[in-house]
Amino acid sequence: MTSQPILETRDLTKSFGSFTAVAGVSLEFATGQIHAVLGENGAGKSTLMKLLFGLHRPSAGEILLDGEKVSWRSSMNAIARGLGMVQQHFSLVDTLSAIDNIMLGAEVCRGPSLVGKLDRHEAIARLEKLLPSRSLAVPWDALVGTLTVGQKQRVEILKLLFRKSRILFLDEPTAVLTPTEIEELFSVLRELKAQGRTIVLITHKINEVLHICDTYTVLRAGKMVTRGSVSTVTIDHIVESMIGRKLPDFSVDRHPTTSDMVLECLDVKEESRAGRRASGDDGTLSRGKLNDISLKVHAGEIVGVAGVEGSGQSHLVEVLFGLRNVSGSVKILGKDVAALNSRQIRDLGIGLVPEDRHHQGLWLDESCFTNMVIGIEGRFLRGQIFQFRDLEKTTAEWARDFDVRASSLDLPVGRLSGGNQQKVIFAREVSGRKPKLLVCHQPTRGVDLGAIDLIHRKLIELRNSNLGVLVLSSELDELLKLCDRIYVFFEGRVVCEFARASFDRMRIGAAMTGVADGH
Amino acid sequence: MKTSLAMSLFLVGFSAFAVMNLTACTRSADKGKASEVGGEGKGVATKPGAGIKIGLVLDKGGRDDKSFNTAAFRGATKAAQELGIELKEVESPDDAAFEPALRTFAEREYPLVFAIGFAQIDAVKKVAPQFPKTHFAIVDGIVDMPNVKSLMFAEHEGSYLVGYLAGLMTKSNKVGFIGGMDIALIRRFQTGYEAGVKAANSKAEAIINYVGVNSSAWANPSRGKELALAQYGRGVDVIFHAAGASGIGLFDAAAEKKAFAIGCDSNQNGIKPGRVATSMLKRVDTAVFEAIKMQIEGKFQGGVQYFGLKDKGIDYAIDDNNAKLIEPYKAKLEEVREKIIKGDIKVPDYYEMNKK
Amino acid sequence: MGIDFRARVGALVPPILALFIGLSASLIIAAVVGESPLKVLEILLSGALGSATKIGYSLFYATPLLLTGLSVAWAFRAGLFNIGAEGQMTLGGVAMAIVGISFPDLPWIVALPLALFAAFATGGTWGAIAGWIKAKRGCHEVLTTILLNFIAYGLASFLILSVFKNPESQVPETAMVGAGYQIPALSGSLGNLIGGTSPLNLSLGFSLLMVAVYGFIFKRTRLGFYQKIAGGAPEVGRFAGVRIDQQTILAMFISGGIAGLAAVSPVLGFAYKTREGFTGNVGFVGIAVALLGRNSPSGIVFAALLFGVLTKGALDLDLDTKYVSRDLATVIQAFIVLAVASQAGLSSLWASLWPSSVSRIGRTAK
Repeated sequence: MTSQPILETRDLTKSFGSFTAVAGVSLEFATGQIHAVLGENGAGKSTLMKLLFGLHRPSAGEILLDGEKVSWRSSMNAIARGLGMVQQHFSLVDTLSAIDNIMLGAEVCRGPSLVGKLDRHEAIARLEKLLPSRSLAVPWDALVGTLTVGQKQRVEILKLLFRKSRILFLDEPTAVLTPTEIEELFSVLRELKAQGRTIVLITHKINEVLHICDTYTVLRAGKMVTRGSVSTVTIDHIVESMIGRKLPDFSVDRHPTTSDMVLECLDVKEESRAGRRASGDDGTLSRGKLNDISLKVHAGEIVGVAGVEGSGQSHLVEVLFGLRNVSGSVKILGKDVAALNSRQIRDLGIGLVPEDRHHQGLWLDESCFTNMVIGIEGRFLRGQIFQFRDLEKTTAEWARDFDVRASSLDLPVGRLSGGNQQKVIFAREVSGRKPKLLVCHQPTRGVDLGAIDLIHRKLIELRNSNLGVLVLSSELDELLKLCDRIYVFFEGRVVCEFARASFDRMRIGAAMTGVADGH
Repeated sequence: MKTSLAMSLFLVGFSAFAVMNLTACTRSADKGKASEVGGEGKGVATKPGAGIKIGLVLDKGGRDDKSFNTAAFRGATKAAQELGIELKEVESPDDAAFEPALRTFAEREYPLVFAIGFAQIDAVKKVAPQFPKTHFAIVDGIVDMPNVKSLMFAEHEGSYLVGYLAGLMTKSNKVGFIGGMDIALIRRFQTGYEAGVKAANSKAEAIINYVGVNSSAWANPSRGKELALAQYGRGVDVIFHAAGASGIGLFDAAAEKKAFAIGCDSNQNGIKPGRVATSMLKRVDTAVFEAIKMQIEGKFQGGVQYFGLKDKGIDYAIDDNNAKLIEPYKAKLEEVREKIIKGDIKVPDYYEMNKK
Repeated sequence: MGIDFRARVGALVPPILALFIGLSASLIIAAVVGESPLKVLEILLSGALGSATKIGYSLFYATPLLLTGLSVAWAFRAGLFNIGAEGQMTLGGVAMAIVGISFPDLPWIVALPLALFAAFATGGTWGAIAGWIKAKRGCHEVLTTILLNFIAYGLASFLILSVFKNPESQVPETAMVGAGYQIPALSGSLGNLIGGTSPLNLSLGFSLLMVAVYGFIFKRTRLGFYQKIAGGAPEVGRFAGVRIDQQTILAMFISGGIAGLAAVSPVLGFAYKTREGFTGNVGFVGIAVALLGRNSPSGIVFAALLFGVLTKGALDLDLDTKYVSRDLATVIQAFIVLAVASQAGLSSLWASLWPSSVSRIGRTAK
């Protein structure tokens, strides 16, 4: 529309030693449009942003703002010239009010700056003049800690507006939002666009984002692969550019469910007294506490748990693995687990892909070999002594099952990409443990598209070989794609259950926010 | 990582420790100069001990303990100044270090090496036979070897004498004793003292306290003061201590309560003038000095040498600080001293009592 | 291969640099107070290594450091900071003495294992108390082990002075252990070739053996694997079915036990009785040994030998210099520890010399 782009890069390059993170990228962001910068983890998106914001200096190439060449000495320059970023992880002070958070660092004062009185009314007045409509407003005096995730994100956006940002960068803005909140965000973005602001969305979630964007740019391995107008592109084309190959068609291939129950929870409820074993997360809000949870998983079916994060999913996983005390009964493969310790429960034949890969799933400093035997090391011990030859041979086979790509399995697992890390966990929990029940918590978070595809296929394959699978995910699309049934969690309770025949994105999304409308 | 906080705490502690050592290190550098006086002395030719090297292995307390080691060091320093000997002293950081220290002196052909304190008995027993030509002298312990002189003190005699003084002085008929660590050596002070008190005043009663049972008892002045205050509180008006540095607390208490104290080992009359009746002197310095002198004169012999009232190796202190205070009792004390020397008074000796 | 080699060389650099920094800083101080640094260095080296006897003493001083260093390193590996080695060692020594006095007539083949077992169990129990409090009540082990040290001193004092006192001596020490418990000095058996006339004894071999066992356990066994998980990735272990609280207690038991064994050389190999305060801060220096040795078996041996050499070499400083005393050894040790602690900085310095190794890490960082 406008002839001159507001922000432009020409052959922008950044190398670290022999590794080039960004290689000759030329971009154009036109004024008053919404742009998507797409790419897998490690494609160079974050390095590119750091270059644009002056956190890195380019090795070669140039950045142009309003058609004129700029050279940032620090990120302060970039911000002063109208660039602003909403990080994926918010940087807000929970104990301050919304307006104070917005002002923080750019306070409106009466009197000398340090001892002057904060003028909140003036700040609010200024802000409201900036707002395109009431939809972006938040309760100004509410403490940020009491706001919803969507509201917090709006506070972050308001911070940028308050600082007169002309170009708003949003890093993975939909990652933490429910479907409803995503819709609200998009309407806000459209209004901002109408005001003439430029918006850049950095993401790898194409489906969610693409339809509100005007242009797209795809990065792969530091290079710009393709860019253009959204109106002329298909999602398949973008996916293909992002991963560098075509993904074969995906078929869920229904399979009849047997009646063997592999997991049955009945009236699982957390006692008010903090569980003795739950020392890990005493700060958890009470809304994450389990309250009369009943659910079943049969052999040969994939059961999903949908819900906003912190609705009790993490607690449920801990309960299943004997790490949290509850009342009610949990039966795994027909055995009541109340009397068993975590090791005995594991040995019943239950695999786990935990939520936090870096913290709960993998020992990042250790080799892939080591990581693939944690918890099942017994089979490689003679007496109490490890038999390394057998260990390396067998785990290498497991790694092949899941197509783990590493130059050597001796490498610390922390050096692998997110997708390969997740595959290492799957190799251990599936090929290594050979479970009858597999629990996957956020199985594809921070994982590249190729690996997501592989993991999804494997899950279907496992189900078809009569394994029971429980998938807890905040990615509703993932659940809709894989599951035979979905339970929706809200504030520690099961609010509804959907069978595949009655899956409905909006209805499930509504249930996730507590608006249940029956089954 | 949770340990990192702990780690930094540890590091802060460790560095503080290091800095303390650093100051100790440089501080002793000043002292180092002092200890060299003899060796560099002018007119070396005129002094009889010129060029003779004497080694001194101090106990763990080191030469600044204000008591036993200090006394030994003082005697040796005096020898360096007056006789012109060359003095080298080392402190031992641990029990295992006595032996190499003694041996190093012997290997370097020091003719006479002192081992200060009974803790060195084992080390002397090991090293002395290996160097028959080297002379060793040990204080407070008996090692029966031809090249070892054992310097022993009749602490009970001096204690009897100051006990006698306490018995004369007390108006309440209650006197006190504060021992350091509860060991035989201090019991020897105690029994001598008690006998002296009874001899002077048959109605007087002695209250006995010990600071502790382990070596920290030598360096706990606040506990010493606490015990002293408790004793004064029970009506005691004179207290004798044999408690090393812990005894310092006694003098504070005496000043507070306007009562009397009796010092020990060195002359402590000046700590609280007018409140210290006297000090029982254990002249380790004299013993060390005399041993060095004998070495120079070629008269050094192995065997046990006892120091007592007779040779003034044990004594009581009179100076400006207590001259007035002690005047009324002085004649009587001198009389008792003579009797002990002559053998007319037999002072009970805890060591002998325990042999039976 | 090239990367592997580089990494290995890289791992060696910080401790050696630390040693270099510590030594030079201390020598500069020596120079400032007026002593020739070269002379000080020469005295240190010749005092520690100048003769068979001197080497023997250096090794004798290194022996307990091997075990206290090992004790602290074990705890480090399991993610715990054991500051209680001093107290655990004290009680280990007391346990040895109690066994040695109570059953004096046992032949050495029974006596020594019994005494070692008693020391391990006692030190271990003391450590396990801190481990238990940590696992069940969440109280930090740094706090508890420090406080348990004081209780240990008191308990040891009571047992030494009131129950098993040596009636023939005024030194606060226990009576002698039976003949079967006494590990003879090497000098007697091999004609002064090894260790000269020093009290160096076979506990050195025992301590080195323990270091080797430690290396094996952490490299090859399930125990070492679980201990490392507890230290390196406790949450991963928790979700994998490893009982981290049990591992914590076990780690402190073993760490304390090894510290208890550290009493073997001073008690059974030298004094043949337990003296009050016989540990002489060896438990605390063990922390420095583990830090400098970076918990690796070879590193611990290197660090313990180094500190043994420093301790012995520094004894001669009192004799042969005017202005510095043996306290310089502590200063050197402290500087080394400080330098090790800043090794993060040193490593990044090293990494910046090899930029390619940075990018390998940079690639996976988001």
